[in-house]
Amino acid sequence: MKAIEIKDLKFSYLSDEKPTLVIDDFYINEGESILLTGKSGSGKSTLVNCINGIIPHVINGDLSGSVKILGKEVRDMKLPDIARVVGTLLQDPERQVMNYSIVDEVAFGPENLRLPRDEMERRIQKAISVVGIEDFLERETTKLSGGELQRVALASVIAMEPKIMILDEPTSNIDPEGTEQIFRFIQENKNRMTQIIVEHKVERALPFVDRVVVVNNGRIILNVSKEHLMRDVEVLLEAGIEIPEEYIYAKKLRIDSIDPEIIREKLRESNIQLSRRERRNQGEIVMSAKVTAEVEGRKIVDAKLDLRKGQVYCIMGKNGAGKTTLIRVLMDFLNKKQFKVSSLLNIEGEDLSRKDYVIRGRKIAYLPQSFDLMLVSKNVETEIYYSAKHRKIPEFKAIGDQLIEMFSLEDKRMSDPLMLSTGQRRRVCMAAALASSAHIMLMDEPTSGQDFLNKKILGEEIRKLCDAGFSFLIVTHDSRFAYRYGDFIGIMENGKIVHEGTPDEIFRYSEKYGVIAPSDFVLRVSGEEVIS
Amino acid sequence: MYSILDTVISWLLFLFGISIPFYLILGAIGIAGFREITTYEKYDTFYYRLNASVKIMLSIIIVLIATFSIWWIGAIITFGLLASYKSLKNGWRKMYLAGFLILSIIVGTVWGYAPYEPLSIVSMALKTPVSKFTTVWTWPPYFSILGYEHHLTLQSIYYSLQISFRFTAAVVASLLLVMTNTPAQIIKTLSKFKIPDPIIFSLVVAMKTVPAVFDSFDTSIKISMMRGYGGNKPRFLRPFVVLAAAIGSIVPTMVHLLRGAKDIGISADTRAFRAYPSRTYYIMTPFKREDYIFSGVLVMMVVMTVIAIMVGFGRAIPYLT
Amino acid sequence: MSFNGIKADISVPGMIPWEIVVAYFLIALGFVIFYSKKSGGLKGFKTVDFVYIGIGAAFTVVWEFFVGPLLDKIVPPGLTAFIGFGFFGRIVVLFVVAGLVRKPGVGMLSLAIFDILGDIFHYGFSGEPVFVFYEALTYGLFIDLAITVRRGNLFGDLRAGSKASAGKGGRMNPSLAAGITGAIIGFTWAFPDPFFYSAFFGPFLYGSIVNWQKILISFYEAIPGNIIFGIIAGLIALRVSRVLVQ
Repeated sequence: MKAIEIKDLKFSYLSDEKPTLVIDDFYINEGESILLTGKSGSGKSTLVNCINGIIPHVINGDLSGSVKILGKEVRDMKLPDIARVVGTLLQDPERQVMNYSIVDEVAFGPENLRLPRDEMERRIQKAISVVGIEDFLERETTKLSGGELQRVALASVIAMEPKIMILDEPTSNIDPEGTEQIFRFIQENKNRMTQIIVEHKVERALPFVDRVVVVNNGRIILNVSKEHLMRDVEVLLEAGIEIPEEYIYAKKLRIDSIDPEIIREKLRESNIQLSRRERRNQGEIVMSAKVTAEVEGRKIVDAKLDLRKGQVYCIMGKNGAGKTTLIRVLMDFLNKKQFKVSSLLNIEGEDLSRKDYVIRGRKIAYLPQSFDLMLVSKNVETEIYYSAKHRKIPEFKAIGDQLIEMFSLEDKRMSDPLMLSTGQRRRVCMAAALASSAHIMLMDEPTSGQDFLNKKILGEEIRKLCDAGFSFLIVTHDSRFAYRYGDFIGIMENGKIVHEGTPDEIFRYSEKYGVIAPSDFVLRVSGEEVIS
Repeated sequence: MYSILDTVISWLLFLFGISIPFYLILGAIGIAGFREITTYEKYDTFYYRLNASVKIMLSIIIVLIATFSIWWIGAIITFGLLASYKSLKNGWRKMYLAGFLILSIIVGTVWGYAPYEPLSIVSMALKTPVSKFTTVWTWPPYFSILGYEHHLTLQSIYYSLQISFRFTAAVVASLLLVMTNTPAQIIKTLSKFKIPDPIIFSLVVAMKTVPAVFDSFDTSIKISMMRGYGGNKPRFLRPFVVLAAAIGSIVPTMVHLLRGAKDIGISADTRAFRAYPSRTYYIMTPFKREDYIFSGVLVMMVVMTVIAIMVGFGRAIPYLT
Repeated sequence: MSFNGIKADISVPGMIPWEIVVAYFLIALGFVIFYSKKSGGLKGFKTVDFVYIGIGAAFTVVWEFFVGPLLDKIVPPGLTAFIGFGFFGRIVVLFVVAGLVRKPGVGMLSLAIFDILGDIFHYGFSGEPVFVFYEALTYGLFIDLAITVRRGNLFGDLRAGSKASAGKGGRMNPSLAAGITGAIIGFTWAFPDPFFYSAFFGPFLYGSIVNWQKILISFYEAIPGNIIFGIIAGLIALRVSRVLVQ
């Protein structure tokens, strides 16, 4: 039987002239696992929403054609009835989990279904044990790490016992360890339920699926079994999807495998040398920091680091290692009533140890993960002028105009920054932060939720700024980004930077700290160099 | 003739007088102390074991009793309940903190009401002719535009003091609820009062969002200031700069948090929210022995109040009896 | 017993006669029931609407209990009737939520939820359920009336220029509409506190004496601030709605 069957589907949002999604004929068999991929705005989420009933039951628009789940028309079903069949795990667990206690969260669905108490008990206990959250059931959901929270969200969906499971970029906001746990669940339940995994990163989900479906401009442009994916690597590239390098070489060398280690050996046999980016770690030290933060007598950050001119220093590590707290200590953002903080901070020869965030802001620019919080002005131009204008720098217009040009924002100059796309907003924020004339920038997970193209643009902008003398301290989970654009990596664990070095040094043993080496690295390193 | 000094004092009293209770409580117990008596702490005595629904009923019943009975019944309840704070975690300290809060409410209420009370009506209330009233302060004649009586009398203050015990009784009972139950327990209890599930759902979302509002707001304000907001203003003006930055941060903070609303909605809808007019609850908070005992006490309080009203200690509010 | 017990006359100028108050609330409640049925009541609300209200409520708690009192410190306390930042924060948040939901009932529902949340965090249900009904059927109702009158386009038509509004020419500029609507609701919000609270609920619950001069001056004092912040809140609501509904 077909789990999902779509025919002549056309959907357009009320504000759009053109349809966002057009699918003539598409199906997924029961028990099949599908990877649904495409760049941001390609129509993936719209397709998912057509399957789980959010369209047309919650989101209004013009809908025609047919979407059936297990033989029933979605349009004719009530949303709660669809929820009994289709489970949806969303990208950001912070936005999915709504209850205060973990058990309440897992029980939410069964409670809504008014299940008998015994049945509720059975489902909740099963869901809890499947995702392995027994150890922290007593904790509040607001105090969990991203990975833990995503497992709670997964348990809450499992408790609905859906026959079809949609996992909408389930790992994009969590660390590699949490990612592994989610994919282990997918692996263990393959064939037991129909799975639709929505992912930007093809290679991450590929081992767990049967078929790959690519959406671009609202249309399915590729629908192949994973074994045949290599034939169509160009299609993926043209659709702006992140393709690991080994795919390209596998196709080029006609290798019937996508295992980076096999491809690496073939490359060697063929005498193909892969380029390595030169790391920039020779500049003078522009920021030297030794900081600690304590809460209730427990040190949550105890780190020392030096940042050099023109360097991109990436901080990596598991969720809860203290990465974001480190950044917040450096910015003097922590609440002193809650945390006991000490910092020795020297920037460009000036001792800022005892200075607060207002003074530090003259030397450091900051881009938070939730960058919307920066956007306090009504148009892009004012936002970018903001910093230099408030600091009473006479040339604030010239500085701002230069940044507007550098970040290709000329045509958005008078737009409301909050109304721009995610990528554009990120660029406005970077330009606005740099307008403070600081030459050091701290960034917290800048690639989170960004697709391949936007990440590439970001990486290239950062490198360009490094050439101009700027330095970056970046907290990231994105190993590939760190490998491609970073110069130096510091691995954090329990608040300490336990290892520092170039990406080529660090990725040899980073796995034991929950940081998985990207395939770019695996292709370039000799097998015996990797320490597991 | 009204002297310039008297005029100045009158205006200062008008402009800053009502901040006296505010400074009284902040000076004595500080914001942290205030938080201590408005937040839950884990402990295990009678009040902590009581079901939140019983304590909600206590709050409501005490307001009704204070409303329909003579003022000193409210005063007795205030001090009686305050004494029972001894059984709370750090009971003496809580009594001390709540005592200051009550004092500030009394001062605030007296200050908020006494200057406005028409003397003729106070005279009716206290069965004392206006001619026998004792004047404490005389306001400039034009203060009558603001609604001030020309003379502030000891009798007006006395009457306002009586009013204040209606507030204090309710506050002492209400603090008990927020000190001995988590917000999550209180919300769960609301379903027992037949409050519709969507409202409870909104409250759950709100509870989850409060810490995020603090965090996001704080970050947004600090980033604005890092980016030079407030320019090079001297440090003593910093509080004003922070507050002005807070106004600028309202929109980005709201947008940031509201952008997640669709996902929370989808998360609930895809888990069968509103499948039925009401839902069941997995974790129940059953009525225990203590709850029945306390419910009995509440019933007794109501009965005693009814008897008190019948024998002449009923409400004494102008124009209603 | 002589303690403040008096025999009073309802015809004496003072507290608003209870018949008027009861009549108002009955009519208001009737209106609510009528329009709720027409618009589907709670069933007409989507889940995301309850989420908007919940997030709004969280904001109100933070603003009213933590930020507002700090802002109020700037203003001499005697002038807080003109410039009450805690109250203005509530206007902004409510307008934003109402501007996003745009269904009759959102005003009353939001006020009720904001009130209950305040009770959970701070007040502990003292004076309830009187305050929930009082605030929902005054401040909340005024917003719902505005939504009904504006047929959902509370702070201007969000879809101006989109295909949904194509062919509906001659509409008012959304910013102007938002400002005017905000000003009108702000003005109506000057009524409840002096007239309902000071002239009825205060005496009813606490035995305070009614002073009409004070009531009128409080009313006049509240008007300019409420109108100005009503306009600002209307414009903010329009902007936030545009950002989120795009």
